[in-house]
Amino acid sequence: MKTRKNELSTQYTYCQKAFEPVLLKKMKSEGATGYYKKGIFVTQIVWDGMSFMFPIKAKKKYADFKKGIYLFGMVRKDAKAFLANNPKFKLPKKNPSIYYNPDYTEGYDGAITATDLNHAYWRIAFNLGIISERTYTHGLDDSLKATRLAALSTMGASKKYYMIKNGNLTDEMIAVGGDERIADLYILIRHTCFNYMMDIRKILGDGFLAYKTDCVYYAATPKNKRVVKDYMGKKGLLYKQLV
Amino acid sequence: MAKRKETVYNRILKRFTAINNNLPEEQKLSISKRRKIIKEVILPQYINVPVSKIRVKPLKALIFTEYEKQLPREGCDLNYISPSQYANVNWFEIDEFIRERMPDCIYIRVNAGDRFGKTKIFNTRDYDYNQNGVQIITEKIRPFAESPQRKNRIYPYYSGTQKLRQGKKNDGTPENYFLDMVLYINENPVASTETTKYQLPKTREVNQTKKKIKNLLDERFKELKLKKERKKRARKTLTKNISQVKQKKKKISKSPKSQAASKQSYLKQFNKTVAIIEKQYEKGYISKDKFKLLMQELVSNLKDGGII
Repeated sequence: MKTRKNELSTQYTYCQKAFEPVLLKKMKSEGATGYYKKGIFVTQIVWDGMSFMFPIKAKKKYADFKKGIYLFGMVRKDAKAFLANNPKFKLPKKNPSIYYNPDYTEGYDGAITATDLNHAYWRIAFNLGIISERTYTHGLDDSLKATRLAALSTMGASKKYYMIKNGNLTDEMIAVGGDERIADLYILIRHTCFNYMMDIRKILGDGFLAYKTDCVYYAATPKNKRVVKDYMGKKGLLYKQLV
Repeated sequence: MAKRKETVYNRILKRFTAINNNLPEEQKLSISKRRKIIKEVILPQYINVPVSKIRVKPLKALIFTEYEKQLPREGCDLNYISPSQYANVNWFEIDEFIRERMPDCIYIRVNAGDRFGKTKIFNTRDYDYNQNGVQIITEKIRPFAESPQRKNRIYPYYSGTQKLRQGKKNDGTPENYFLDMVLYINENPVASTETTKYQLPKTREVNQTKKKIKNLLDERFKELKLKKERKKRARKTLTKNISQVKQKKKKISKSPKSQAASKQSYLKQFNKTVAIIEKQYEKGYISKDKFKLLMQELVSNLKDGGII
């Protein structure tokens, strides 16, 4: 995959879906060179510096996403500031996102409870100082869940496009833009979360059953509940007790 | 009858037109464009200058600077313009596309097929929304595109195709080609989309010129978009403030104790909204009719209930 500086898009225009095959046909007849990218919300075709955007999702969902689009800029700005202040930050030890206690492969007979972190990555990003309080508060709205997660996961990530050569869509890909160091911040957030879960596993010992990203399952005893609660409180995390 | 006194504006326009008439066809500017340039660029430099003090040499220099800012000669040649620039235009935006996005020196036709009609081939320099018949086509499309019944609704858009004018040779002469803005309904064009292009030599100069034209057209597109966004924001502000006026009017307390404060808050909002309307009218975000209507509405709202 080739990596290229952002030379693609200068202008963009939103078009209706029916135009997508027409545009591809036109590009074919012109023997044009372009780029193609299919995202969750839009399909993008770039031709001669003009980006043609074709919305995919239902208007309502897209409107919700668009409502919080400013979060991308805020997060990126905060992340850059964080990097400037902590140029030598270290990535934590890597742990899996899902982990089951190997002692309970046959199942667990007793009562089970679970503690789930509220907006885990967002809160951890705030606790680590990657995003500011202002950004954090802006992204708390429930309707912005997808946007804030997207804002964190795409910071520093490059955009990958399929190439259109002589009007034909090819399998060849190019990566545009991206900053690896900023992208590492997302790894930092994720693995900080998994490390917390591993810490809880160690604290709970035999009472620990499993964790899935930001939710830990364990034997439902008052002592275990208190221990988990104390740990999360100490780390400045917000949570809800399930079951 | 006494002769009308010549204004500074008239003197400049006269000089501008004289220069324009002596230029080759592809460099000429339309009267609306000349008026716009005078109003926005030249006239501000002649504030408080009497007509008798206008000197030809500096005025000519100013005018020629404006000509230099225009698209290069090749900008009038469709062979140099990337098809991506005219690949997609909303049916309701065809007017501003012709007026503001395309160069003022190309031949164009709006083609909505037999169902909605088509215009003659005209030069964008002489374009008029009404006179060239674009308005009729748009208004014919409107009931179908904005039909309240979903099943009757169509989703049209225009896409441009470069074609050869009748009886002309495909020899690269800019005047021999025209842009046919063909209407599409869903994926189907209502007229032929067969294109005729002149193969330009693949030299560095040609590429540079193409790039230059692309940048200039991109700049126009950007400006237009900015203008639209500003207008949209202005509309939002206006709606918000007008509804606030109405809300505050409703909230005027009847108890004598808090009536004065609520009235004052209402009047403050009223004045703020009037100022916003005036500012938006000045900036051209709202039309004269709309301005009058809004003002009337506000004032009637003020009188209603005997607040004065």
